[in-house]
Amino acid sequence: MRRLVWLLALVLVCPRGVPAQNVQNATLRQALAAYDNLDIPRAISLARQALSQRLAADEQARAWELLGFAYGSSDSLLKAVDAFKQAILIDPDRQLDPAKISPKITSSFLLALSQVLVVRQLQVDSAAFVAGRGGQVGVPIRFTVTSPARVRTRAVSGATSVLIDSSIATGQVNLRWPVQLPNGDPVPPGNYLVLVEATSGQNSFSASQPIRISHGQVDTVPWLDKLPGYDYLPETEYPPQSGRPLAQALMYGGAAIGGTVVLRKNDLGSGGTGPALAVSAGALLSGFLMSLKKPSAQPARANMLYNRLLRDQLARRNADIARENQTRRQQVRLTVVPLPKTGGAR
Amino acid sequence: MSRLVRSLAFLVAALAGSAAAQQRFTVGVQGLYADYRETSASLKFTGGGLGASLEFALHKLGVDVSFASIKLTPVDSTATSGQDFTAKVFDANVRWRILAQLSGEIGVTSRKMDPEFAAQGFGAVRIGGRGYVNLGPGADLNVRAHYLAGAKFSGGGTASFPIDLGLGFSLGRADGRLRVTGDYEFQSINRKTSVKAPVQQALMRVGASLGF
Repeated sequence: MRRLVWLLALVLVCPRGVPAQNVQNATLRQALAAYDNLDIPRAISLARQALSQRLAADEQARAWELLGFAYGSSDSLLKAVDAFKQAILIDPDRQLDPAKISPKITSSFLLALSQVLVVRQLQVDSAAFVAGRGGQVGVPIRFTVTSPARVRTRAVSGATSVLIDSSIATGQVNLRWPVQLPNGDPVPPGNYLVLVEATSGQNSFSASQPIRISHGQVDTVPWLDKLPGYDYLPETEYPPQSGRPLAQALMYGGAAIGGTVVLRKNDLGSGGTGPALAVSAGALLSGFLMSLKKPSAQPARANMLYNRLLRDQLARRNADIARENQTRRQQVRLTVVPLPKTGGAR
Repeated sequence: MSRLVRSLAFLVAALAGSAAAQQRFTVGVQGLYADYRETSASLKFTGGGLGASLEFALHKLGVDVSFASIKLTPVDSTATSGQDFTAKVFDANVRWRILAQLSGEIGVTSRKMDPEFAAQGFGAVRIGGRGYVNLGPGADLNVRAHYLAGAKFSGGGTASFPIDLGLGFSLGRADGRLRVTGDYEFQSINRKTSVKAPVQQALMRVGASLGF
């Protein structure tokens, strides 16, 4: 009774790598149907029969996976591991969802993974960056090696082969490729194959991901005609209207009259201040008119200094931009785009 | 040789061009009123006349020349020694701007009488200063004070501390091309012969100036 419950649970949570209705091979389709109907012995028999026929790679992987599930359900764990190993070798990226699959089958699958040497889930991210900038620029490359192995990662295009990395690794590997040749030059544009080869003793496995590398010009920085947030200030300013001109005229006119009175010779008679009064009146009139008039623009020295600083700063920034642009014109903008895979792993 | 001449000509033209941009000429004509007194209260003359002036400024340097002819008549017609005469007044000054609004000035002043002994002819060297006050666009004031050194009189005598005070204004266009001008000049001279024989002149000029 307990075994039946397990079986039901296994079947209900069994993921479909390839939906049964999409399966071309009739025998495999029957095997999947038998598994769905909990007819495990028939499912095993039909799956084996399907494997003896000519199957596409994905159907082969599906058939082996089905065998793994079926053997796992019938407590033939070693056979399940072997079946999963075959499925993994055909389709290394095959993955089970541990949230949906029973721990028993998941552990069989993981055991199978640890017993084979494959490079799984090779992923090359698209990236665009300026070559030779240093720092954390480069194309992220990720993959998983299931067993400890010497792993060489290369980019290959025709006769060109650029070594990206060579190390002994297992588990998740994260690389960042600066897309440079050994001499520091950017890798020429074209279609490349990122090839990951894992070797451990007699075993070897490789996975690949095609990518396209293209070159472009580096964007130059535009000239600045103003610094954001900093505006030029007017270099002249109008002082507020005041009675100062009238006061000045009054003061100087008074001084002229006073000087005349003080220096006047008393023994030459009185009077004689008429010309002083007349000219002082003219000066007063001038002062009065100027007090009414809008004052003339005066140079605003603080603003002029500020503007000069701003112009100097702007010139300095533009000189920096010119230097930066000169450097940028000599640089190459690399764009790396992963292409759809055409072949599988071996 | 011709190349040297050409180079020199170019240099002179360049300097002249630069100086021309800085220099300014101002010519003016004035109507005058004078109050002239000497020796005693009975010798008091007033009158009017015409005058002309020419002023030149370049950088800190300023030069002005003025001439005036004034017909003076005695105020007290009963005074026995008083008679009409014409005073010809000549002034020339050179100044150098020391501060933004202050210039040191040196010049000469001369006043000749016609007939010659109708009043005291006078000549002296002016030493003093001139201050400028800009009242606003198109209006200026100037004040000046001079010590009249080495005063000479046609009738002889000396002067202990002759002084000349002045106040002028101009009002008109902000660019200075056309201005109404007014000027006041007061001379106080402690002339001494065997006795005190002071001389005093108040001169008002009102006119117009043309700058270019």
